[in-house]
Amino acid sequence: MDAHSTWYLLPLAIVISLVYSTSRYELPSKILTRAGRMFLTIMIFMGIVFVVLDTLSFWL
Amino acid sequence: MTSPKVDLKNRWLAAVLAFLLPGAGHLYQRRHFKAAVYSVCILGLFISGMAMGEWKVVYWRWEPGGHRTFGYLAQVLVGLPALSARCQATRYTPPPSDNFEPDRRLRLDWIMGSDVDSELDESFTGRFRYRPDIDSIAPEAGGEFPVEPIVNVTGRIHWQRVDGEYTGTFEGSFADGKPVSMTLVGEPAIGPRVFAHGEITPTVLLRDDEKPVREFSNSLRYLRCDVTDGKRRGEIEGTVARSFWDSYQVPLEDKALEEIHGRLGRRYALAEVITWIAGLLNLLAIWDALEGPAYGYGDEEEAAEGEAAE
Repeated sequence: MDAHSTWYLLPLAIVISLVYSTSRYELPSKILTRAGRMFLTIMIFMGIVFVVLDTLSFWL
Repeated sequence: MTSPKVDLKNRWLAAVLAFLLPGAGHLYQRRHFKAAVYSVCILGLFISGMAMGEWKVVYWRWEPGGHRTFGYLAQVLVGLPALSARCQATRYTPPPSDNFEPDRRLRLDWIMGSDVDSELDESFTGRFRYRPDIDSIAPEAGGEFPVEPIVNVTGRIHWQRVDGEYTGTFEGSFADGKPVSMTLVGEPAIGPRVFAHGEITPTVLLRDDEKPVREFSNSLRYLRCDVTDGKRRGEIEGTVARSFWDSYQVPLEDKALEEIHGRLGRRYALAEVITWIAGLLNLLAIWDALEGPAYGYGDEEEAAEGEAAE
């Protein structure tokens, strides 16, 4: 692969957050706020998973 | 939840529009912000996925006990951009199951002449070689044929089939600019018209020092046929164009899939997943067009705070 596949998570997380929040609310300001919060949640969660897996694979 | 503040108009029509094209249902409902978000995000994701997989990620194959594209069931939720795969599956001719060599199909892209177009008029690029002239062989040569040179040739090939017989011409020029005009002899061999990712590597007219690198193409079809200039017979081998519509979202055969997986690796799998996600996200958009925002308009908290203040 030309780039590390982890980087594909960024646009995917942005799109999923935006579309999900858009389907939940009507007000654009609310949609963007919730989408931003959801994006951060996804990134933090995936970051934690990444660190845990990286740590576990350190001894492999 | 249907919010009273949101005018869904004819919500069933909106849902159908949202299915056919992400964002179209919301555009009909005059929910412009949502229409923009859905169309840019979902279509953008879907097209990006297709581009990552070299536009060969979305296709429909459903063979009992064989290859089944379950992923298409998610991709098709994007609507029209994926629906053409169903149409292409009906246009595509699957390989015959009996008396058939799968390897040969891909190497020569040719099924026993059964897929040869009854009529063709296309630009041709490839190679030409005269067959050995038997009359010119000296008896002392001991039956060894002289090797004729292989030359590059471009031009236009035309044929039609009448009562099972092929008649046609090849008009073009050699690499040095010398014009050439030949008549087709016998039945040409050509890749199927509706096909995705067929091999176009020359297999017959190979130069002595040449190591052929396997080449595949969507937009080109392999072609080989015998020709004559009235005096001597020869052979041309090369490619003619295949139209975009004859390769777009056409079912991929196993050998083609192997080649793509081998070359693209994880990128192809990732491209598939991205198109699945795009389709599944459009399900949210369809539901939103039908029922409105799931958690309400979005100003409920502010309204509640306002009431509490009063």
